[in-house]
Amino acid sequence: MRKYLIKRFAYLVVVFFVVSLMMYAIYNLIPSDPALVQMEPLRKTLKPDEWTAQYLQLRTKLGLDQPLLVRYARWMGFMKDVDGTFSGLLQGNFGYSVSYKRPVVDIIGTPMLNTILLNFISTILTLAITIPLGIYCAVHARSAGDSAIQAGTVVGYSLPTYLVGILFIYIFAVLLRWLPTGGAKTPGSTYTGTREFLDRLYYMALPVLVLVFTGLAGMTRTVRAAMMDTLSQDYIRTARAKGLREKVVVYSHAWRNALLPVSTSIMGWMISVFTGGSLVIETTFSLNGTGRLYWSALNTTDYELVLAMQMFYTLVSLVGVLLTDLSYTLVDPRVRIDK
Amino acid sequence: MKNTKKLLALLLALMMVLALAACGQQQPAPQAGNDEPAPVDEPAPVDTPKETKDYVIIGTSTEPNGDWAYAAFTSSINATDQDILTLTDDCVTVTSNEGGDYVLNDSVVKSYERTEDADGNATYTFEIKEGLVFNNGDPITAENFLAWSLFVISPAGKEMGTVSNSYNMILGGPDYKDGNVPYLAGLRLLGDYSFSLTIMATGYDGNAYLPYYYDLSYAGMRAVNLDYWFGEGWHVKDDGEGAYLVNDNGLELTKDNIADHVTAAQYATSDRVTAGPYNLVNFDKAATEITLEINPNYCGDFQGQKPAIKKLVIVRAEDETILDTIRTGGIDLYSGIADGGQVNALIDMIEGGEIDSDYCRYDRAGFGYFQFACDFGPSQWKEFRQAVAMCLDRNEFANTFCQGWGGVVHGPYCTAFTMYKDSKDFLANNLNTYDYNPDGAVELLKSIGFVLNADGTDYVDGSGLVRYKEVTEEEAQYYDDFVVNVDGKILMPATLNWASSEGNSVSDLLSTMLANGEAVKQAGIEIKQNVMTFPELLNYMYRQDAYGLGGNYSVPTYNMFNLATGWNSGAYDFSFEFTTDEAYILDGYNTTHLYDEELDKLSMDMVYGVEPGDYDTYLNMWQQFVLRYNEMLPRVPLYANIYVSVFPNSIVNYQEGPFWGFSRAILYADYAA
Repeated sequence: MRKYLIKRFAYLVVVFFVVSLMMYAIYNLIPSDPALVQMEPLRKTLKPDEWTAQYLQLRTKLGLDQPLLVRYARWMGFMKDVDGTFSGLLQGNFGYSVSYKRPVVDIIGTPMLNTILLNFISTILTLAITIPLGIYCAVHARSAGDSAIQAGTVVGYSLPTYLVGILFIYIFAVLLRWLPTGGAKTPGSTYTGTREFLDRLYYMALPVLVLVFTGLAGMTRTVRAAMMDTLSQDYIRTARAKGLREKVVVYSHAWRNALLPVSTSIMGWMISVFTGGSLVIETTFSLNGTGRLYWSALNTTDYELVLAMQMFYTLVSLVGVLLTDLSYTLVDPRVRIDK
Repeated sequence: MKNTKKLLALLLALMMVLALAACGQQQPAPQAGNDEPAPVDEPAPVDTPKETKDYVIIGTSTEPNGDWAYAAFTSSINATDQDILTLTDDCVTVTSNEGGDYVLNDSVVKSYERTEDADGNATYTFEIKEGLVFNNGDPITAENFLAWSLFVISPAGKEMGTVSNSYNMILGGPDYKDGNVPYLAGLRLLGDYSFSLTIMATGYDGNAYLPYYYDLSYAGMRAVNLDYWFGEGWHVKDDGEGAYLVNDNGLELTKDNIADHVTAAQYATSDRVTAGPYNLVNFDKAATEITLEINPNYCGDFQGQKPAIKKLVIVRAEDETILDTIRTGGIDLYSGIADGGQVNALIDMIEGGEIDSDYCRYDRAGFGYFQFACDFGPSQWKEFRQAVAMCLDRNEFANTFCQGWGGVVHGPYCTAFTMYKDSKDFLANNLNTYDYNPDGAVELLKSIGFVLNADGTDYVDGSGLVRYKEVTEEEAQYYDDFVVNVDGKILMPATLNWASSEGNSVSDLLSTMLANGEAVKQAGIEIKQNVMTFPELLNYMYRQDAYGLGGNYSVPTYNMFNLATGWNSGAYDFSFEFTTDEAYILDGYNTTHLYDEELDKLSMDMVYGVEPGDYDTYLNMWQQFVLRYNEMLPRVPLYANIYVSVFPNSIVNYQEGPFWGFSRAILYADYAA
């Protein structure tokens, strides 16, 4: 096990650095000048000589006059920066956001927490609905109920999230007035404790509903397919032949075996939605999350912020894949990853 | 395993119950520190009496950054942050009025004097009123007005990254900035309530700073609380040579000694020590919400006006759902809606009684336009530029784009400027409005020699082909991809290479109505649209390399760009924008590359050649500038929006203007009786 973990960890490190170099190179190929982005608003307030001097000074300060590899090495923390210190990613410096005018690390914390909370709730609810649904569909495959569920869930899957969001806002916020159109809390409220928690949930309800609705089809079908496959196995026929109750056959024999392919999907899905954020949901519902932050950073050519987020996602994905592989052993004792 | 299952099931059930409980809850009224459930009410129709709110929820489409250091460390400050600063920090010597003109803040300034020495250097001496206090009760004296400049220009400030270049124009600035002397000679502490500022006529960078028509803006100084920004024990002193910052505990003015305090104050999310109409109560980053409450210690704005609305809650709003949010009461006040469709829908909601709100409208202080690169290709001839303008029905364009909520201007101005108001007849009589006239465009093209086909034969009007003109090698420079050689002659097509930003509705409409319009085709002009990102468009426009990677940005490539411009104040300063100085042009100034000595001179002299207060001379030069601009036509104005702001009927006397945004207008609003 230890040998396997060391091998996988080494692989993870290599992939991380290769990806980081590729990402850095790609973003540096985009025709944008961070120094110009910062200095452009000063054209009207500074005299031309002063503007030029400050612009060139900033280019030097940002190290833009150096070749790509040197800039990468500094950004990663392999080489000393312009100020003579090692202050790259490896030293915990995630860069500086030109649009927020602050270190990246100061910016991403709050949106990340918001995104994780939103996605955690919606993921739990989605799983709570889709797993029973998938099992039901598999057990009652090709019945009217199965067909109805398949068709119903695929509606949410087929419609663009943006459209579902707008539709749900119209129904639940404008027509029924049950829920707010967006935001994260009652404006101006200073609730604390349970009241604050409930208020946050109230404002999160509509985006969660949309996420759940649009996420039903995928997992339902995965569970259904895995269960159908398992239910067709000989040992299930044997179990039924032994006279076991159908409930025991389905949940104790079939479901546990069907869990193996399902668990990998769940793991990967959870990691991506927990951290990735949803641009559409967050912008539609005015939520301060990572998806909107990422989009905003791209639009404002804030590439240090974009790169920091990309590298974080890369790391999470790599660790996620490792955890998914490790989770096999937990779900299926027959799997021995050290062999 | 059974226990785990039970736990998981319990968690799931709990989560669902909580979510359902939350969904069933009605929107409660804000209450401070309340941990009790709010009373549950049925949604009230608009026409039933509602509980009077003492707060207003304001929507903003710009996310606040929460940087309150008065743009000391940054090249720009976003609109919401600026609004918050206006609402919380208003103890300034100079401000702007509804017309955007710089005026003295009479609530702060007791007396003011401007004197000039033989070299033309100006000294602005202020005596401020006694009894002014910060929101925490600390008295405001002359020290507080000098402290910020002394910090920003100091070596410690520079080490911390301040971006101001005011040291170039303040007497003794460079010596103080470089640490050669501990005092700033141009700032003088003359008494507890008196101080002065001296601006050099010719700055240390060699630039002329005076006379400057808007020189009152130089004298704008802000009171900051020294304890709050720099820590305890800091004072401003003056031993006769200039003002300086000193610490009672013997601390030197260094980065190490003040950086932590400055950073904490810069990004404070509550309890800022300020002197404005409102106090920052809380900046909730997670919810992107800012809460402000009235500052009882506020002395009033330049007209002595104090706010009546007790509490302002500023929240992030999304453009796509803004109307639904207003409709459902999520936002009470939203400023500057420009989209004509949204405006029409909003007014329907108001007039239909769907929301209990009203609206105000005002002209935008700016306009959208397309501009030419006037130094290469066919756009190097003014007649060509004029011909292109005449191929577009700009009134129709503005009407379509703004959906009735906008109009057209015929020069570089907005209708809110005093100069415009005083020049209406002059402009009406003298400006060329370039009305839609394809035939006129053809005549203009013929007049400058666009009379050939691509093979050198005579062009037949109405053929639908692209016109060509015989040009010299010099005229053909940078247009190799378009010019053709026929029998030793160089022929240039009437083709514009347009850099158009992606996802831009103006570009889309311009493409339909101009580039692919019938008039352009019949005139024999071709406009090639090249869609690109906005940063790339800027690179081509400024002709600068990007990210140190080289590239062809410095090579003239595109000769048409569509953009927009705006003014934050009534200061009309086009200096350097039409410079003919080679060095400035290389640095990205004069993006139209119109090298017209007259326009350059007028744009400079209009502000740097007129004494402050000499409005008649200024107005005359302004008119000449607009006239010359209109003739040379480096830019073709397309539309100027009419903005609409919605506000609740629970407040009255709310009126925004082009230079009078929500942060100023809200001071004059009151609760409806």
